[in-house]
Amino acid sequence: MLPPYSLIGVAFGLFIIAADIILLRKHKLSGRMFLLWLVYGIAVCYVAVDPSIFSRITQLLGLQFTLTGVVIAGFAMLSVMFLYLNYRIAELQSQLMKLAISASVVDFTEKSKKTDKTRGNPDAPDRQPPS
Amino acid sequence: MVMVPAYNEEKTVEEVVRTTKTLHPDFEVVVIDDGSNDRTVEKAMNAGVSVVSLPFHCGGSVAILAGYCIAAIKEYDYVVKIDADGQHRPEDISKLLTPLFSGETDITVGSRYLNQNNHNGDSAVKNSGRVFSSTLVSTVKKTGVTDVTSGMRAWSQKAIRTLLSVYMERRIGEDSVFWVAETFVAARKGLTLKEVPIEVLPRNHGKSKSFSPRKMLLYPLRLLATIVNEIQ
Repeated sequence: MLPPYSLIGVAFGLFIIAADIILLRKHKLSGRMFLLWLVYGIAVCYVAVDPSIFSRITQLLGLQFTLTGVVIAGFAMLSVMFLYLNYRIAELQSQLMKLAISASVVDFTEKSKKTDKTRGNPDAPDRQPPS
Repeated sequence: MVMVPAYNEEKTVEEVVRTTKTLHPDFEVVVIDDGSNDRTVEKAMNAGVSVVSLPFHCGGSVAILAGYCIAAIKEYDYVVKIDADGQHRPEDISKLLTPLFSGETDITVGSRYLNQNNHNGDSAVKNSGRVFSSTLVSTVKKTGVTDVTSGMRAWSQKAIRTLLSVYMERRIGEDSVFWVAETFVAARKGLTLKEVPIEVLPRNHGKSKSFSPRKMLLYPLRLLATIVNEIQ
């Protein structure tokens, strides 16, 4: 049976993985970010089950870093904030790309209309881009 | 309509467009400039075709979606996409359109693997990746497509409108898996796909934008993410 802190860690790791999959399925997260968060979620689960890996890594890097409840809570909070930021950036990037498409399509249709009129076709269709 | 997405293809775009215009004078050829910083736009205009300019470099999938929008607004019955780098032969456009004209299918995919004599000059790793992704997609979705990453395609107006309605509701996909995702979307929306053999020529100028060693390493993982994303 895992100790309570490990259970909390595993639950948090699973929460990250679940949120990651849900956001991907809703087309809110890029494939790149999905993979990054999937690896992170798996790493969180692993560290929760075997916390000694953390001290082994810090020893390997020549650092002294005590794993306390505060540090873990800080990591967890930062992770959630970072995941949320990724989600927002992906959403904004997508909106920006759609705006770029709309701008270029509107520009193109305006130019086409002018060309049609100079070619003597004043009844050229006056259509709007799909919303 | 023939759409030709282009990003920094000044060396090839003019010839591609001129050949297309010569072979298909009745078709409107539209170059979609993806924020090129060379003379791509100028070269395309020299060839006497319309150019849609994206305000900055947005990526291939965004350029293709811009092409879909134009096709939907102008209500073209059929749309064909060929690359501006000269790897797709404008002579193959008719092959793609024949099944659409007969109402046999909604989307035609040009497959380099149906043509036994095709030597596209790509590395074994690239070709294996394409075969692997096509096999995987066909196994998961039973599409029977042998070249799922092929960018030489043709659509009916119905297909364009259906795909556009899906894409406008979600975030725009990544370039490397765009065609894989589209194959899933098309199958889910009940659009029919048919493959025709095409010839893909080796690239003579510049580097491929869709394949780099880093992208190739990450491709299997992205493919997996796309399948998780698209499968019902």
